[in-house]
Amino acid sequence: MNHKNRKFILEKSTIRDNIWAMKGIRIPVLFLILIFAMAMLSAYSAMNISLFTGNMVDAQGDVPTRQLVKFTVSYLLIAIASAGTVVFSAFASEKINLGLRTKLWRKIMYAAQSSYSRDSGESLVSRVTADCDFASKLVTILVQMLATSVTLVLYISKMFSLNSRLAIAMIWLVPATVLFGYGYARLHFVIAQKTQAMLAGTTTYLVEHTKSLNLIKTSGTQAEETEKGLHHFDKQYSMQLKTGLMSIAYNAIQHLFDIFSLLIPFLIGARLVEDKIIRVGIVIAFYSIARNVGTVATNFINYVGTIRQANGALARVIKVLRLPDERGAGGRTMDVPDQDIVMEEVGFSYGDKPVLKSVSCTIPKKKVTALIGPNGSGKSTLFRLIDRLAEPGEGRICFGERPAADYDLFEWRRAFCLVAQESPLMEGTIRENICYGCERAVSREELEKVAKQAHVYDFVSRLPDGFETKVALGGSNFSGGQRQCIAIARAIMNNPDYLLLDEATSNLDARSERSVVEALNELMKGRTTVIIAHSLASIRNADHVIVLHDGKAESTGSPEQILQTADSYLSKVAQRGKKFAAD
Amino acid sequence: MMKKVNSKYSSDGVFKGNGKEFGIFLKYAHLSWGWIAFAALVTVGYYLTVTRLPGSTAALFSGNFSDSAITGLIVNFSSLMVMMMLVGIASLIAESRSVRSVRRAVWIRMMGIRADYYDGHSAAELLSAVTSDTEMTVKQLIQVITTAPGLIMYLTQALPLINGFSPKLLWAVLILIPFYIIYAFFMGRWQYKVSGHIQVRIGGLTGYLSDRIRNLTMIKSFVTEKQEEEKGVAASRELYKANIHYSYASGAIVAYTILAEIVGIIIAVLWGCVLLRSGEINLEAWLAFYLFVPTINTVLRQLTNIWASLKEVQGRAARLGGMMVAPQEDRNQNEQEDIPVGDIRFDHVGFSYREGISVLDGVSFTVPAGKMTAIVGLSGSGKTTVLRLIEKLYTPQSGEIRIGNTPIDKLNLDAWRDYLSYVDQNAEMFSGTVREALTYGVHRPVEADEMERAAKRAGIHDFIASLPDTYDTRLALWGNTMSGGQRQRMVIARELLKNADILLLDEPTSALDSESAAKVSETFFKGFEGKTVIAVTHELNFITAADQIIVMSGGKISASGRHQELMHSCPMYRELVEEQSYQEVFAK
Repeated sequence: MNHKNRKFILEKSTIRDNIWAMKGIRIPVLFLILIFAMAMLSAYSAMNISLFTGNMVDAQGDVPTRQLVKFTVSYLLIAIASAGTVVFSAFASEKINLGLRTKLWRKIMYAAQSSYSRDSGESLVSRVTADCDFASKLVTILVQMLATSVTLVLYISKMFSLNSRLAIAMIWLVPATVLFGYGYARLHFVIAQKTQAMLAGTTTYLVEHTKSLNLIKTSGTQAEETEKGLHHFDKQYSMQLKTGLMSIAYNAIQHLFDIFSLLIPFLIGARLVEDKIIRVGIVIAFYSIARNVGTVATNFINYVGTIRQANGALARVIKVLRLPDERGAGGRTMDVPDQDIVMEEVGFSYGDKPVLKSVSCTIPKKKVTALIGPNGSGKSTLFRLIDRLAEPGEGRICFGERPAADYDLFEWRRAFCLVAQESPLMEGTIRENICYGCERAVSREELEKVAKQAHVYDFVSRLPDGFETKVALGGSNFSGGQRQCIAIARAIMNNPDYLLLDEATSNLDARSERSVVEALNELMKGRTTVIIAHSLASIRNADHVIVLHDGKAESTGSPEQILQTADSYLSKVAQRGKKFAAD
Repeated sequence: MMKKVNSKYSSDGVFKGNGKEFGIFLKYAHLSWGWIAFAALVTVGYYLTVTRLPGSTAALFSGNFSDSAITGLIVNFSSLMVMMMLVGIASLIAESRSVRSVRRAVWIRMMGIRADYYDGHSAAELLSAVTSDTEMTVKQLIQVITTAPGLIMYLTQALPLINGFSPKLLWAVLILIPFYIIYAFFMGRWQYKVSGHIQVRIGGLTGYLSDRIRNLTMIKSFVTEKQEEEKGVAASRELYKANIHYSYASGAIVAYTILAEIVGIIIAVLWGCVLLRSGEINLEAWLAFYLFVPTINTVLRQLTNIWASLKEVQGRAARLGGMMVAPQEDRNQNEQEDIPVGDIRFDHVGFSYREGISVLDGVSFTVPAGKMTAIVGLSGSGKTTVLRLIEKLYTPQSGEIRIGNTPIDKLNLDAWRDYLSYVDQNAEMFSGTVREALTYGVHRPVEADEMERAAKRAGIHDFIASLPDTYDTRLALWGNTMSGGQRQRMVIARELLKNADILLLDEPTSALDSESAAKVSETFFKGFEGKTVIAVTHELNFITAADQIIVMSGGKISASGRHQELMHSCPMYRELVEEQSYQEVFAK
C-alpha cells in the first residue's frame, strides 16, 4: 500500500540556491576550460576527417601526403581529446565533489540533531555519497553542454558553407531529433513511473514473502503462494514486453532519422553533382558531417536529463546544508561543583506527538537514580534532553539554580556521558572504541586497568589481535553483553561527572549479564548517575527511583517503596490465575 | 583506516561457481530455447545485412549516383532497420520468457525450501534471486548466445569479401587481431583491477559514513565532532584519489581503443593508397574496405568481450543453480494424514542448529492433550526450539517426538501443520485486505458472519469496523500500520477461524503493554478452551493459570509443576516471576 502511493518527486532548487551551495568550494576553472578545449578539439578534428573523406573521393585515392598527415594527426587528436575529456572531467567533478562532500560532512557534524533525527540515517548516507556524486557533475555537464552547442553551430555553419541548398534541406532534422528525443525521454519517465506503480504490488509481495517464509510454512499455504507468485511473474513479463517494445519503436524511429540524413544528401546531392554545381567529395563530406550532427544532438538531450538529475541531487544536499547549526552559542564553563539536576515542567514532542507532557523531578547529585516506566513513556527522550541533544519544548532543565541552557553546550556534553541501550561500537579497533572521546593519550597500563574494571580484559586478551581487533560492522563480532561492557569501559575511560545509562533489555545470557552488572556498579561508584532500569537488580541497587508514565513523573521514592506495588500486583494476578485454573 | 575491505564490495565480486551448478541451472531454467534460436537467427540475418552495406555505400562514395545505386542503398538501410527491429523484438521475447521461467523455477523451489536452508540465507538474498539476479543472468546469457553466431558470421562474410578485393588488404586486417587480444587480456584486467580498487574505497567511505551517521548521538554526546570531521574529510580525500586514479585508467583505455581503431584505419588508408596507385584495386573496392574497417574493429572487440561476460554469467547462473536444488521439505513420503488424538511426548530429544552447540540436550516431557502447558526459562534455554520441532520446521538429531503413539515424522507434513496453530510475538501477516489476512491458511470458505463472530471474540471487530472499507480495507506491508495489540488480535481471529486442535504460542504477548497483554491472554483462554496449548511465555496471566509449567535451562528441563508449587520449590522460577511482575508493572 505504501509503495503504491509513493511518488518519485524530483526536488528542485533555484540557481541562487545552487550558487549558495557552491560558496566556499573552489571551482576548478582551469579544468573546466580544458574540458571545453578538448570538446572543441575533438569536434574540429572530426570535421577535418569528414572533409578529408570527401577530398579522398575527389582525388580518386591519389591524395597528397600533406593531406594524409593531416588525416592521421586529426585521428590522433581525437584519441587525445577523448582521453583528455575523461581525465579532465574526472578532475573537475571530483574536485567539486570533494569540496561539496567536505562541506556537507562538516554541516552534518554540527547540525542540531533534533532537526533530522526523524530522517533515517540511511538517507543521510546517500546525501553524502550518491547525491554529492551527482550534484558535483552539474558544473562539468553545463560546460559540456555549452561545448556541444558550439559544436552544433560549428557543424551547421560548415554544412551551410559547403552547400546551402543541401544544408537547408537537412537542417530540420536537428530540431526534429532533439524534440523527438526530449519527448521520448519525458514519455519514458512517465511510463517508468507507471510501470513502477503497477509493479509495486509485485515488489511488495516478493519482499514480504521472502522475508516471512515461515509464516507460509506454518499456515500451510505453499500451494496458494506458489500460484500467486507465478501470477506476479506473468504480470512482470507483460510489463517487460510493453516497455521493451516501446524502446524498440524509439530506436526504429531514430534509425529512420538516420536514413533521412543519408538519403537527403545523396538524393539532392546526386542532382547537384549532375548539374556540376558541386563535386562528389562535397556530398560525401556533407553526409559525414550530418551523421556527426545526429550524434551531437543526441548527446545534448542526454545532458539535459543528467542536469535534471544533478539538480535534484543538489537540491537534497542543500536541504541538509540549511539545517540549523549548534556552534557559536558559547556560555558558562562547567568547571563548577556538582549540582542536582532539576526538571521543571519539561515537555517535548516529536512533531504533533507529545512524548513528555510535564515532567518535574530532581536528580540528586552523587546518587544513583533509577528511571523506570513503560515503553514510549519518554525515558530515552528525557536522556536526550538532559544531555542537551535536543531542547525541551516547554519548561526547563536546571543545573542547581541556573538553567542548563546557560552553560556551554560542548562543555556540558563533555561533563555528561550517555551509554546507550544498544551500546553501539564504532568502526575501528577495540582500543579506539574504549578510548573514544578521550582527548589525552592513554597508556597501555591505563587501558588494561580500565578494561579489567569493565570486565572486557578477559575476552579481549583471548583474541589474536587483542585490543587491536577490528570491530565488524555494527559490532557483530561481539555479543550483546560484550558490546555493553566495551561501552562501559569507554565511559570509565572518559570519567564523566554525570552518567546517563540506558540498561540493555536485550537478551543477554545469564553469565554475561552478571559481569555487566558488576561492571556497571564499578562505573556508578561516586558519580551522579541516572539509569534507565530494565531489570529488578538495577532498581534494588538505586538510591532513588522515578517512575515515568504518560509523559509525567508519576511517582518517586526509595526502591523499597516502589517495589511494593509489584509485589501486590503479583499476588493479585496469582489469585486471578488460581480462580481461572479452578474453573 | 580506509583499507578495510567491506565485504559487500569485495574486489573480486564474481562468484566462483563450478560447471556442475551451471549445468543444473541450464537443466532447471527451462529457457525459451525456441525464441533464443530465432533471436540468434535474426541476429545472423542482421549481420549479413551489415556486410552488404559497405559495398553499396562505396558505390555512392565513388560517385556512382545512378538510380540503382541509390535504390540499393535505400533497400539496404531499410532492411537493416527491419532486421534491427526483428532482432530487438525476438531478443525481447526470448529474454522476457526466459526470465519468467527462471523466476518460476526458483520460486517453486523456494516455497518448499527447508527451514535450515532459509536460516543460512538472508531474505535479501532470496529476494534478489527472484528479482535482479534472475534478470541479469538471463539477459546476459541470452545476449551471449544470440550475438556470438552473428558476430562470427559477420567475420566469415566480411573477411572473404575483403580477400576478394585483394588478399593484401586481408593482411592489414589480420594485423589488428593482436591488438584485441592485448586489449582483452591486459587492458580489461587492468580496468577490472582499478575498478575493484575504487569499489573498495567507496565501500570504505560508505561503511565509515553510515557507521558514523548511525552513531551521531554518540559523536555529539562525546563531543568528538572535530575528530570525526577530519576523519570524514580524510575518507573523502581517499575516495577522490581513487576516482582520479580510475579516470586515468579509463582515459587510457579510451585512448587505446581509439588508437587501435586509428591503426586499422590508417593502415587501410595508406595501404589502400599504395594498392590503388599500383592499380591492384579500384577506387570502389578501396572505399568499401575503408568502410569495412570500423565495423570489423567493433565486431572483434565485441567478440573478446563475450568471452569475459561468459565467465561472469557462468558464476551468476551457478548461484541460481544452487537455489534450484536447495533442500526441500519432505512433503510426499509420509502418507499418514489422520492425526491421532493424544498427548504430545518428547522422548530424549536432542537438537542443535550448528554442530557442537547443543540447544536441546535429551529432553523428555509430556504435554497432556486438552490442557495448557507453559514453558519458561532464560533466553537461549531452548524454549522456542521445542515449538519449532513440534511444527516440524526442524528435525531432532536424536530422540523422538510422538503424538499418542505415533512419531510425528510419520505424519504427512501438510496435514500435520493444518492440525497446528502457530502464533509468535511478531504477529506476522501479509498485506492485502483484512478479509484475506483473517482467512490466511484457512482452507475453506468463510461466511461474513462467521468472520465477524471470530473478530468479535478476538476483540478486533470494533477496530475493523472503524476502518474506511471495514473488512475490505487494504493493509500495509506486514500490517505494519496497526499496533502490536491490533495485529496480535487479528492473528487470534485468524487462528480462531483456522480452529486447529493444537495451539503453539511463542511469547504471544511479549510485544504488548501489560494491559493489552492481560486482555489478549484472556481471549486465548476463552477462545481455545479445551484445546492443547503449548505457550512459551512469562506472562503472569498465562503461567498462573497453566495446568503445567516446564522450566527450561541450558537445553534441559530443570523443574515442572504448577505455579504455586514451583514458587516454593524452584528458586529460578521464583526469580523469573519476580522479574516478570516488575516488568509488567513498570516496564509495560
